[in-house]
Amino acid sequence: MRASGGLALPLTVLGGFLGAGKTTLVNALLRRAAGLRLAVLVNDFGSVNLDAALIASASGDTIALTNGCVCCAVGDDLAAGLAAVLSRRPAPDHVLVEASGVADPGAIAAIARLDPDLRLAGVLVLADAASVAERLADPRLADTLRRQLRAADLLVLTKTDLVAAEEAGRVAALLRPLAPGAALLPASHGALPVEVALGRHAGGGGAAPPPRAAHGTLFASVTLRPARPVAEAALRGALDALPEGVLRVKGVLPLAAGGCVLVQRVGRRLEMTPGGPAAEAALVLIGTEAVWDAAEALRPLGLARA
Amino acid sequence: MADEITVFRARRILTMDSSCPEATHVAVREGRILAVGGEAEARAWGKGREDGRFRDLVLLPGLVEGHSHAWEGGVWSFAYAGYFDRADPEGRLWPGCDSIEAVVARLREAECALPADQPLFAWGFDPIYFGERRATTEDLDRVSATRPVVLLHSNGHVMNVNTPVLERSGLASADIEGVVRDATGRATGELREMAAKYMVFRTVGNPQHGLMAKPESLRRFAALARRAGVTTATDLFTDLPDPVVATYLETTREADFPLRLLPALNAQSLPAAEGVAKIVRLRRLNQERLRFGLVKLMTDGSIQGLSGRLKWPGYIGGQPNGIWNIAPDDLTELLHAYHAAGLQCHIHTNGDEASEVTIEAIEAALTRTPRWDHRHTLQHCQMADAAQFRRMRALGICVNLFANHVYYWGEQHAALTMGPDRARRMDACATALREGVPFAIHSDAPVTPLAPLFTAWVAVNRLTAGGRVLGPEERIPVEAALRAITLGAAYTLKLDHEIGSIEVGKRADFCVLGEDPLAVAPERLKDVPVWGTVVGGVPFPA
Ligand SMILES: [Zn+2]
Repeated sequence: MRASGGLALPLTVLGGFLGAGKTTLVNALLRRAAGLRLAVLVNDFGSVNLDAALIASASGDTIALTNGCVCCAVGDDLAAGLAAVLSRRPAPDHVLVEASGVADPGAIAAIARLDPDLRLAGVLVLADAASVAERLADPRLADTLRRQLRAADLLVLTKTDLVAAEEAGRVAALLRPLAPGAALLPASHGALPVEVALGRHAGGGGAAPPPRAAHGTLFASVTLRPARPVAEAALRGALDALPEGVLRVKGVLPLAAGGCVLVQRVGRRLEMTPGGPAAEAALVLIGTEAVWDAAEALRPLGLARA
Repeated sequence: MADEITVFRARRILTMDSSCPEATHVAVREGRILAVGGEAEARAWGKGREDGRFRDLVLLPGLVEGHSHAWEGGVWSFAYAGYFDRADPEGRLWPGCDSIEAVVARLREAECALPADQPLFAWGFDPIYFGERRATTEDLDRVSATRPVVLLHSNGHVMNVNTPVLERSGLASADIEGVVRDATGRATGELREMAAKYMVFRTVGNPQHGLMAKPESLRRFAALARRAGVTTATDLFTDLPDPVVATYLETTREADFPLRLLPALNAQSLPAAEGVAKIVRLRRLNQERLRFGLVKLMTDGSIQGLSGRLKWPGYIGGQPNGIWNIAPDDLTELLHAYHAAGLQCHIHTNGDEASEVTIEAIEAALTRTPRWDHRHTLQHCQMADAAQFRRMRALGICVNLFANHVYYWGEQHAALTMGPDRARRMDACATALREGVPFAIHSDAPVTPLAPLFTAWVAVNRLTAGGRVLGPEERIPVEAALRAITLGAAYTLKLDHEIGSIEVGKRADFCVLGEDPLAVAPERLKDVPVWGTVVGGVPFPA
């Protein structure tokens, strides 16, 4: 079934309305993804703005970067674009699909859920703090916007520097009920670490992130190791109860009932599937400073900082 | 020889030229019309060679299909599973499948003729005509329990598959919205949404892939056109990749290719600046029977698919509003880029909200960059109200109405989508006529068959497949309908100086009919036999 013969390729969907800052984030991630072969699928290159120094070669629908990343313009044939990415050699480490401004990112995420060669690594939806409220009040746009928000695992509020703090708070309160599955976080000018956006560390091809916050004070990560096998139900309960500031959780843990479980949580969407190498048992939390409190909350399960 | 004159004599020639509406003779030289009128006019340039083959026939200007897709020539590579009778490019009539049982029988027949290793694709299926009954895996497993079978619905968004496809694609067990399940939770084989479609094509291959780069697809499209009396047709939505451009250039150059083809670039497939540059570059390659230059933009979905964008009060069943293919603000920007480059835009709008957004976008473009005679054209424009038509006229906008919908889906629009009142004003040809909006009418082939005389018949009679007259006030006279499928359509394509009427200097393109469309009863217009066409002075019998 699996065409690549290897592991499923992680796919992140980047959604959000026109002007929400998707392009800025794509450009920032392409620059910062050194060491990670990131393949970005965009509708067109019109918005991708890369330094000439970063471009290794450009041919037709594909721009190859000197850092190993590629950017592909797929027009409105996403299926063909994904097929091309899946057949690329060397295979990319991660694929990021930029949804069009009116697309339902949930429909693209469904592809990654279906295709055994792909694995959904999260749905990021960006919302412009300065204009999203006005757009939600426009009957021509509201339903499209609500569909996007509903699909979000991580809802990134952008351009918060353009509005007063209390206005940003009001917007966040407006959006929260519309994105019931999402963790909400502010990040302007593409200032979203690769770890948060993609759920992986740039330098090491998917290895554990650095032990402490690598990008200033806003984002932090912590790695926990199990002292003993955990009870599945207790683990699920504890993970469901984590604070919103824990944006991503992933890892492999041994189960009390035997075997291991692969854990992936993005925003509030938790997936626990059987499997994973017991030798690499660990749980990584990525998010705001809240990860430190979260680490404390998981201690009763026998999980402790490495 | 280049300077040889051919004089065609016909029983009657309807010219669409108001200064000389009727004639019996037309002289042709170098593929163009040299003279029109009676014997005297035709002989004024010298004797010429008399061609009497149309002596008992009636000539019209070559019919112009302003909204079709060359894919109509490709789709016949698959089995036809539609509800209505339909002729293929070779002229074989495929009776409509009026039950799911008939669909199964049709597919079984096609299955027998297929090499062992190929999946079976069928097209044109529309369960809207079968009430509650949907197609299932049981139905398609009877076609084959081993070979992949894919039944594509006419709306382009839904399909049915058999068990081998469900299992190989992993969709049988997939927990996803687009996989329809029965009361027991078992997948029925009906698949919706992009992801399920993606998985099917990933499993059995995309049947569309590469077909339009085959000369055969284009030749079959032209064969259908010839049989329908069409001498100019659009291919109104294509990314125009290099292999397709090469095929179009080569095939339309073939001496016996009987059609002028106008491809329209999908403007949403590339950034505006590149799209403009692409069209400017392609236009330099234009030749007699191939004209690049048109631009296509897509705003909303379809009304029978409940994906058209409607104004208040929305769908009669209370369903959510449709979807945008482009955000209104993006449309304004994109349209302006092409408008400012002097190009003509054809904009797909089905629902009235989509039409309104498009009218606003054109108004914004005109305010920013005033331009005369732009002829941007709203395509389909099925739900526009009178005020929108008045605004179109004020802004110089043309419209190409999807008249065939009234026949094929009129009953469904009255019952399921718009309700009886708004269904009456769908594809409002008479309003366009009254309000002075230049208009054409179309088939959107392969959505409905390429047959402008049928389309004209719908605009004249507004009979639904169920047999009722839907919106009698929107019926138009035969003369107006014939103009819409000739000069009217040519006007929306900015080719009315070259085709669309039988006038001195224009291309010698004729539609040759066995009966006089102005003499037959209006309800028989669709039954007027088509002898074939003349393209550039060369007769092409159907
Ligand atoms: Zn169309």
